[in-house]
Amino acid sequence: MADLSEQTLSDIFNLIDEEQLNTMAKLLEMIDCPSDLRGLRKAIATVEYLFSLYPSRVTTLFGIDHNSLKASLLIIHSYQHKNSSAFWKESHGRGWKSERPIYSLLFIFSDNRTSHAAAALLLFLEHYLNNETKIVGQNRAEESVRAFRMLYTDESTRDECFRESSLDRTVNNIFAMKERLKSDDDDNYLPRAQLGYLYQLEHFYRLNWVTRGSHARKTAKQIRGHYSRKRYERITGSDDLMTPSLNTQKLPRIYEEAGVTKSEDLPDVTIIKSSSPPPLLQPYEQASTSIVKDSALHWFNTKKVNIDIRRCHNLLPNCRTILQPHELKLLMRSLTNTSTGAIGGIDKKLTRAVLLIMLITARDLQSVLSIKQASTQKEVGFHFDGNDILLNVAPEPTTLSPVNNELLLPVSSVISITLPEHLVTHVSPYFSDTFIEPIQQKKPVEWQDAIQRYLKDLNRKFSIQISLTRIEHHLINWVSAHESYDPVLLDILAEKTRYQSRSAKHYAYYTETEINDELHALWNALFTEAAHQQAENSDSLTPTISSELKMERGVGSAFTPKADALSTWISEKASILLSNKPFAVSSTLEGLVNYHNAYTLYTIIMLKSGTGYRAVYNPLPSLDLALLRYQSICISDKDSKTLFNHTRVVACPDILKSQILHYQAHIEAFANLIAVNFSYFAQQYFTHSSHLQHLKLTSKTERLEQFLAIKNSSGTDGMFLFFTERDEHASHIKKVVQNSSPTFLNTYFPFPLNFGRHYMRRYLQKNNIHQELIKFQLGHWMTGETTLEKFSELNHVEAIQALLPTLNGMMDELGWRDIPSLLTRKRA
Amino acid sequence: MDTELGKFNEKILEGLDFRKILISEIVFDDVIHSLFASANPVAGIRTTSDSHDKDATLYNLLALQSPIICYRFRKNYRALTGTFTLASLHHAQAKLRLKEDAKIPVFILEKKPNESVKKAIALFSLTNDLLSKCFISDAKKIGFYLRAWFSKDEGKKSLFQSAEWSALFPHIDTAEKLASHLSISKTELFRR
Repeated sequence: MADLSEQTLSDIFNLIDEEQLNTMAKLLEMIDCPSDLRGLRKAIATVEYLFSLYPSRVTTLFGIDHNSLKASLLIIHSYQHKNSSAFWKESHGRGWKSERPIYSLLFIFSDNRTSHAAAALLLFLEHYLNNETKIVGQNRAEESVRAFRMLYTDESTRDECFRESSLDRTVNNIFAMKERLKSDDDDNYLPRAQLGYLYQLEHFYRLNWVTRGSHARKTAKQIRGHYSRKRYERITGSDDLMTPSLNTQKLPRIYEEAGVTKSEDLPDVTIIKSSSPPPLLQPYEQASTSIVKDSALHWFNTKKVNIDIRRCHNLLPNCRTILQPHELKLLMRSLTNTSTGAIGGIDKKLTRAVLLIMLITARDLQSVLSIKQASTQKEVGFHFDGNDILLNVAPEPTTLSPVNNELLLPVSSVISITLPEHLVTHVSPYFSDTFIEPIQQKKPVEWQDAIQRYLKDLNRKFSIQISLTRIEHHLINWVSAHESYDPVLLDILAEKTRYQSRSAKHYAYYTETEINDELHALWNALFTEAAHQQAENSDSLTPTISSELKMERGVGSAFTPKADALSTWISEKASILLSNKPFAVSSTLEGLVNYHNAYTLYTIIMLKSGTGYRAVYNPLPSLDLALLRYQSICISDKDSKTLFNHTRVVACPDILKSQILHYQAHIEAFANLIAVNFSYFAQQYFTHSSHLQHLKLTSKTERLEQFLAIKNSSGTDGMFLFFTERDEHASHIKKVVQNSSPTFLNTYFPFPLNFGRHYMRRYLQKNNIHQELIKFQLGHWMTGETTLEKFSELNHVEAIQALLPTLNGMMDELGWRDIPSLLTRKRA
Repeated sequence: MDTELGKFNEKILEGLDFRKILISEIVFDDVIHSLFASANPVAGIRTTSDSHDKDATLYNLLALQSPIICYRFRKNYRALTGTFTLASLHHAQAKLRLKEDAKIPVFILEKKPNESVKKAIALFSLTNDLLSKCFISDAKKIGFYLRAWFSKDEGKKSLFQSAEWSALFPHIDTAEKLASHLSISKTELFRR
C-alpha cells in the first residue's frame, strides 16, 4: 500500500500549516484513503454526514478535535486540482473490498445516507477501529465488513438487526435473528448465505471467533428423529431384516468422485425389524394391547432374528446354522453317489448336481435354476470349456458411473470362475452341453418339491436334519464364522449383495487369477472338512483359465490404484523434496511457501495411504490424535459432530510415525519463518506444536469439548495448511491460505482420495490377514458391532502389533520414505 | 548528514515516547513484510528451528535490550525495528509463556515517518545486525540478503552507490570495501 506522504498532501491541498497537515494526514489514514484519492469525494461525504449527526462520537473515534476536523472537511470540499478526475470518480475501485474494507464501506454508504444507516455504520466503525489489530490479526476484516454490508443492504434483515444503537443490544438482535432463522425450517428453506453473514457479524461484534458447538448428548428420541416413521426398507443383502429409512441421505459429489459410497455404511443407527410391519390401523380398529399382550409371542419375535439360519451376527463354527463335519460328510457322500432313479419326475443325478452347485456357489435354488448357458467368456452363465466348467459371473458394480482413470486398476463387468475339479469329476458324467435344458424344463416348485423329498430320504436314513436353507447358507455362514476368508468372494460368486460384506465389497479388488485361487482354497477347505481328513489330492492346483482375452480381468472396487502408478507418484514427489537446498527454500517467501506446500502434500498423502483415512476435510486435525507411543492414530472420518461411530484407533506404520514427527518439527520451523508475513497462521502452528495447551483444560467438560472440537475435522483448519495465491483479476493476486479440503487436494493429486483404503484393503487381503484385523484397520464394522468387543480376544495393542509388519511392508513396497523437512536442518 | 534519514535522525529524540503497551496492539509494518518476503533473515540464522523454546523466558529484559520502535497507525502501533523481539514475544504468547494481555515497553515515534524513511529504519536495523554484528557468517548468504533488500539506482554501477545504501553506510561504497570490512573475498560475496 503506497502511503500518502506529507509532501504530496501539502501539494494537493495547498496546505502550509503543519497542524492542518497533520490533521489531514490523520483523517485520511483513519479512513484508509488510497494515494490517488480515488473516490474520496463520496467517502468523505459519508464521514461528513456521520459527523453532522454524531459530532462528539466521530471526533473521539478519529481522535481529532471538533474544529480541526471541520476545517479538514472544508479543505477537502474546496479541493481543486489539475489531476482531480480520480477524486470525482463514482466507481468502486478494484480490490478495495479486501484491501481497504473501511474505505470501501464508506464509499458504498455514501449512497445510503439515512439516520438509520448512519447509526449502524458508526457503531460498526467504532467497533472495527477500536479493535482493528484483533480483527485483522484473525483475518476477519474482509468477511466482517462484507457481512455488515450484505445484512444492511438486505431489507429483510436490516430493521431487525440494526434497529438498536448500543453494541450489546445489536449483538443480541443478531443472535436472536440467527436463532430464529435456524429454527424455522418451514418448507425446508434455509437462507444459508444470510445465516453465514449473521454468524460472521455476531462473531465480529463479540470479538470471539471460536465456534462453540453444543455437545448435548443425543437422546434415543432425537436419533430416532432422523429416520422415517412410516417408510421401512430392507437391509441390503438380508432377506427379511428391515430398517427405517433415513429421511435425508445426501452425499456430496466430491465424495462420490473420491470413491466414497453411500451404501458403504448403513446409517448411524439401525433399528432392525424382522419383517415389514403391518399397515397402520385406524385407532378404532386397533386391539387393546393390554388384553392381547402375549409375552411368549413377543419373546419369540425378538429371538427369531437370533435363531434364524439366514442371520448374520455372532456366528461360531459350531452353530447349528452351519453344516457340521459329520453332516457335511454324509451330504457329500450322498451327492457324489452314482445311483440312478428319479424323484418327482426329476432324474436323481440332476438333483444331486443342482444341490452340489448350490452348496459350492452359495446360491439359493432359484438363482441356481436360472443360471444360463454362456457361449463365450464375456457372457454370464455356465461356459463349457473343454475339460473345465466355467461359471461366468457379473457382480454388481461398486460405482454409479464408470471411472476412467489410467492410474487405477481396470474393472471388467464379467469374470470367469472355474468350478472345482473335485466337483467336475463327480458331476461331469451328467454334465454336458445339454445340462441347462433339462434343468429349466421343470418349474421351480417342482424342483423344490423333488429336493425336499430327496433330503427327507437322506435325513431319515442317517437321522440328521439337513434342510435346503442350511445347504444354501452353509458356505456363507461358514466363512462368516471362521473369518479367515474374505466374505466378498461369495458376493462375487453368488452375484448377490449381502449384509455382512456391504462395506468390504466397495474396497475389495481381485484379478481373475486371484479370485480363482482364493475360491479354490476355500473349496478345498470345504472338501477337506467333508472328507474328515486331508483330501487325497490336497495339492490340487487351481485350474488355469485359458483366457480368450488379452488382458487379465479384474473385479470389485473401481478405485484401487495401480501399485506402480502410485509408487511413481511417490518417488517423483520425494525426489522433488530431496533435491532442494535448505537456504534456497527458506530464504524467500515464495520458495518457502512452495516447499511447505510440497512437503505438506507429501505428508498428507502418506497419512492417507498409511492409515486408510477416508477422503475427509483435514485428516489428523491435531497432533494430539497421533498416539505415537502406541504406534497408533485415532482417526475419525465421516463423522458427525456428536456421534462417535466412525472414531477408531488404527495402526500407524513406522514410516508414517517418523514422518509425523518430522512434520511436527517442520511446522515449528515453518512457523518461525512466517512469523512476520503470516503471523496469524504462525500462531496457529505454534499452538499445534505446544504441549502446554492442555494446561488450560482444567475440567472434565473442557477436556471433552476439546476432544470433540479437534475430532470433528471439518470444523477446524487442522495442521495441513496450504499457502496459495489466487488471481482475482489481471493485476491483482490475492494470497489465500487453505486447509486440506478434498476439493483442493483433488487438484494436486491424480488418484481418487479414497485410494489409501482401497489399496490397503486389497494389500491386507492378499497377505491373508485375518478378517477381524482388516475390519479393525478399515473400520468396517457392522452396525451393532464394536471394535474388539468382548467376544474378541484381541486388544488394541495386540491388534496393532499384528498388523504392523504387513503395513510396514506395504509402505516399503510403495516406496514411501520419511523425509525430514529441510527447514529444520540448517546445515545440509 | 544532509540526507532525509539524517534529518530524521536529528529530530528523532524530540517527542519520542517510551511506554508500555499491549503486545497485541503491535503489528509489523508493511516495509518489514516486504523485506521478509524477499529475503527472510530467520532463514540465515544458524541455530536450530526450535530456538525459541530454548531461550530463557526473560521477556521484559529482551524488550529492553533489543527494543521495538514503532509509530502510531490509526488506533494501533506498527513496528519498524525489533522484529526478532516481537516474533519471539508472539511465540511466547502462543506457547502460553506470556499472558494474552501482557504489556511491553516500546519506543513510539511522534509522527509516522514517510515511506523511504520507514524502509531506511528497518534496513538500518537489519543490515547493522547483518554486517556489523555478523549474525550470519556465510559470505554467500550476506550477498543474497544485500541484493534482495537494496535496489540498484538507475545509472549507478552497484547497489553500494544507491541512495538507500549510502544513507546507511556512506563509507562503504564499493564491493571491495565491503569485502575487506567483513574480511571475506569479494567473489564469495557475489557468487550466486
